[in-house]
Amino acid sequence: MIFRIAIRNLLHKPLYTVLCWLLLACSTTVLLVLWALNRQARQQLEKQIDGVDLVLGAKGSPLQLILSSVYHLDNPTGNISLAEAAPFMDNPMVESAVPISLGDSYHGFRIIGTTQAYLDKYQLKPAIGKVFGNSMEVVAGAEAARKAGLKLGSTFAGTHGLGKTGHVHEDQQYTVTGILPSTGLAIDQLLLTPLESVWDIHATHEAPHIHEEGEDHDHEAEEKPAVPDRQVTAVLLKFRSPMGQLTFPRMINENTNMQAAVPAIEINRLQALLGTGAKVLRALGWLLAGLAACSIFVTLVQGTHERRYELALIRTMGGSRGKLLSLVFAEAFLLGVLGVITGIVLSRVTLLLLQQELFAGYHLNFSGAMPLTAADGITAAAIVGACMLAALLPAVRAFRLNIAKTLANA
Amino acid sequence: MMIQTRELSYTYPGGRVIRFPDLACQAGETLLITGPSGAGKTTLLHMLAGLIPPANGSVEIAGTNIGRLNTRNMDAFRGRHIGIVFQRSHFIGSLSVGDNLMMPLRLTGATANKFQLLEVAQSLGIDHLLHQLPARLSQGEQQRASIARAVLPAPNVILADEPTASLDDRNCEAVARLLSEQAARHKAALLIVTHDNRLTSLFPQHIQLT
Repeated sequence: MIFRIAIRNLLHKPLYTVLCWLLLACSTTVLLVLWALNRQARQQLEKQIDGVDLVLGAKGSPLQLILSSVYHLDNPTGNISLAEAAPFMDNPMVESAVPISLGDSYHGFRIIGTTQAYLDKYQLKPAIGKVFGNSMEVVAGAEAARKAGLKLGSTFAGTHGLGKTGHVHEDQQYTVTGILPSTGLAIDQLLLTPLESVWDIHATHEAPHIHEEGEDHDHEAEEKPAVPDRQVTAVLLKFRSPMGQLTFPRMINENTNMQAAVPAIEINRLQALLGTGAKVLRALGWLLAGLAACSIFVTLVQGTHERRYELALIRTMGGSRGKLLSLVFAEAFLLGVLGVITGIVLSRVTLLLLQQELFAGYHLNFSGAMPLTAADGITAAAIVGACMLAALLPAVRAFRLNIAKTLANA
Repeated sequence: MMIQTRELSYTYPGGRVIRFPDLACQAGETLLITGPSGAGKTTLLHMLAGLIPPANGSVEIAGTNIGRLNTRNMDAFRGRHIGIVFQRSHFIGSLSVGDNLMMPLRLTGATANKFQLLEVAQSLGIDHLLHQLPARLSQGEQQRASIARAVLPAPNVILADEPTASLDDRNCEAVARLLSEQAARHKAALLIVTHDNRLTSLFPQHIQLT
């Protein structure tokens, strides 16, 4: 009976009810979306650096080096000499070393010169076709292939630089030999090719290289002159022992022209930088929730004042003071639950819409953000709790209503 | 006796004390209590309904001294044994007339019988209005609806506070007649507190407050 009256009372004042409901739904949505993005961003960022203990690259910003070589987001810091990196790659403490070479792109998708080891790192095999073998062969990531319309056997010319426009290497055509399965990682957006492809293309474009004596390369079969100092953009290292993690960065940063960046450290730094923005947004979400609670408070205070005769009437018809108390709480509770449920639905719809955008722009996959977690539950409960708190004063007022006086002044 | 008072008095916050004459009413009978404004009519009615405690004296309804009940039990007792009709009828504005009439039954946890509701509504000529919101009803219809609400739980006592004050002559007589009819039908003692002289000619039993 009390619940029924509460529902009818809410429906009887649709404007106030809708206002409270919208405020609640919006605050819940903002908070839940932020939770989900935060959680998923961290998970995704951490998943990508799985198996990369150290990145070796040119001097510059370590964060930039990590972003460009692991997440494929920023521009590279520069190139390093493969010969200089070789001693570190061959060190017994190193379990695996994956060289990558950036520079070209196709339709905005980066062409990464690398070795088979890159695929091994992700334990990936092409879903169709086979792994690249020779120069100018390409294995395409799932998204890149789909969006750029690449199929097995397609040929295309790379664009110099990472933008959508630039010099096109018309004379050298890549051939797609395989397409990778979808992983939800940055690799989906990449076009992988042997290091030699990158060297071959740029050998003809760049200024004549200085030939050095004593350099030996096994590319004599190729027509182009052997490049004496082969360059790569970065090397992704994975250590066999934690000793490497401790000794390598110092060794490299102090004794060589290169820099060593630890992805885990850089990502923590990045999150600390972005954390402030997330904090502000979250504060905004709680502010909205506070506003919602205030609107419920005002609505209920006004409602219990306007309806004080009705409340007194309920007492004269046998309803106890406890019933009046629960009537006011029931209205707040119904609004709270309705608002929170709407907010949860809205937050999931928002995530669904954001997902596509974020994956294309930042290579972040948010399909795992959908399930509700304990933190979401606590947030929802906190909002409903705030509604109940807002109802406390009006409820106590209803409880302590002087019925004789109220009726006498009718 | 269905309702009986002994040496009732009430002290107003200012210190003014009013003593009320003892009154008693049998089941199925009507007692008219009249007096000028300020004679304490509404105060008396509120004490009879257990809404305010008297300074002295006792009110006994159907064998229960209501002064001995605590707030919670008084609320429940009121719901079961006392029906109240106010001068201006109050309803839960968001509920239909039908739901409003069933309120006392539902609030006290009694089984709400739809046939009973329909029968009472029919006898008061408001059965076609049960689905309307109370605000849609005319004054006369509202007053008849509050009579229906008061008698529906079959109370021992019906208290009416100026039930006809805001009605015209025709409606006044109809409402007064319906009230006493319904009280008699449900074997309840009916106490009408009023300053409306139109009613004195209708009811023989009469107590004057000064």
